Amino acid sequence: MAAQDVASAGRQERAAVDSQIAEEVSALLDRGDRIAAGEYFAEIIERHQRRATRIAYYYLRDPAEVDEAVQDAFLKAFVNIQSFRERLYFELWFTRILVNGCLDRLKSRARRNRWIVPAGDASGTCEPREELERRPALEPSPETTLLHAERRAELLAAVDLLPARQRAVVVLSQFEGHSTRDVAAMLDLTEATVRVHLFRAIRSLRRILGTEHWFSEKPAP
Amino acid sequence: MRTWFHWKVGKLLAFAWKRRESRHLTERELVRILVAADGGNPAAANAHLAGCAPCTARVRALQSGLDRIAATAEDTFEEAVPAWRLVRQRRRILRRIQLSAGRRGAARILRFPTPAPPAVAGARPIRKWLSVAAAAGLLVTVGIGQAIDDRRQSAARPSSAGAVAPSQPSIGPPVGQAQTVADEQFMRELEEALTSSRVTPLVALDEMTPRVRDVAIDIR
Repeated sequence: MAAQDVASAGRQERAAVDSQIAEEVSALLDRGDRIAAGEYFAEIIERHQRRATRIAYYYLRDPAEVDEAVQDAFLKAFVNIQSFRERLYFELWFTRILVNGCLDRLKSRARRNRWIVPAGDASGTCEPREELERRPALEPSPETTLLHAERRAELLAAVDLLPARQRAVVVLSQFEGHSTRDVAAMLDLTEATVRVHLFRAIRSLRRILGTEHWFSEKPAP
Repeated sequence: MRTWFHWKVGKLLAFAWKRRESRHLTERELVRILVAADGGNPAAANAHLAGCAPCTARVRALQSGLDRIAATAEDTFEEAVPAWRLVRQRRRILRRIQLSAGRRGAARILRFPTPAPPAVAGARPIRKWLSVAAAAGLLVTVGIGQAIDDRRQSAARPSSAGAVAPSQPSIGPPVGQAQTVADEQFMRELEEALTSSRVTPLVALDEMTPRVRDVAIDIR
């Protein structure tokens, strides 16, 4: 419980800083100083970029598309920052922009895939050179690497199988650790609906992934 | 009788309650407990959980499974989107924001496409003088050419009018006759060439082809 309190306090603090920056940016824009507002907004990018990229990645999986989605979300947030209201945390407001953008992209991808046969694997892996660049010098054994890679692929495939809303709820609440209330605010849903989506998503994941590796403790007789 | 009935019903209810308490939670109930963790929990399931070690272990297993999923998801992200990619992304975001800010700050007005405005006098003196010089040069050249031509014609007229042209000595046959001779000569040479070329693969073809002479005889 103490850990939760600390986390909650930290969150409040971060939210307050975000709100302050957003207000400053908004004031600069009001004064017509867009260049300074852009420079100030860089701090918000610094604070939220990684989290935003992670969320977009769980949705889209293609690094290039993730890049675009995150860029678009930040640009949209900057352009519309004057419509940001303090009663909603900046993080929630921004995440809503991002998630909506990702959902739009998924929809358009689905529309595209209906007509176009994919030329290759669209799993979002990087180019060979990037693959080489991102490999650390000291790696675990090939077996471990292979096992981890398999697990990751298994998980991503399972997450991909979830419907869009369930995926959103799982990503935000399980992967990102947001509370049901926050997720409801981000996705513009009621808390009860979020719980239903989460309940269904966890059951689906459990069914798809199986209990052998992921939920390995022996169940009660 | 009535007391016995009440006693029996009471016993049945107690049995059912006991049985309900003793049975383990279903998977559905386990997930519900986890999902409602930050909201209202079903009291009965919680009460059961408090006294049932196996179900507690199951809930823990489910929770650890979800934690494992979250950790794996984090690893996947780390691998797919390395730090350099984030740096590059940040640079691009900032550039786009700067572009947007710059664009909004000083709006650029695009002119509606219209026909080119008339040239202002003195705006481009060099180009103007160039075209005038070219036109003048053309006129002068044409004039000079015309003058030279007239001069030549006027120089040639008196000699052709006054003197009789000297008769040229005839070197060969007249033109029409010479042409006929040349044709005959050519045909002869061609025929000789065809008859003399006894190249083995062409013999059969040569035999099948009518001779010019034969054709000429037939026609006559």
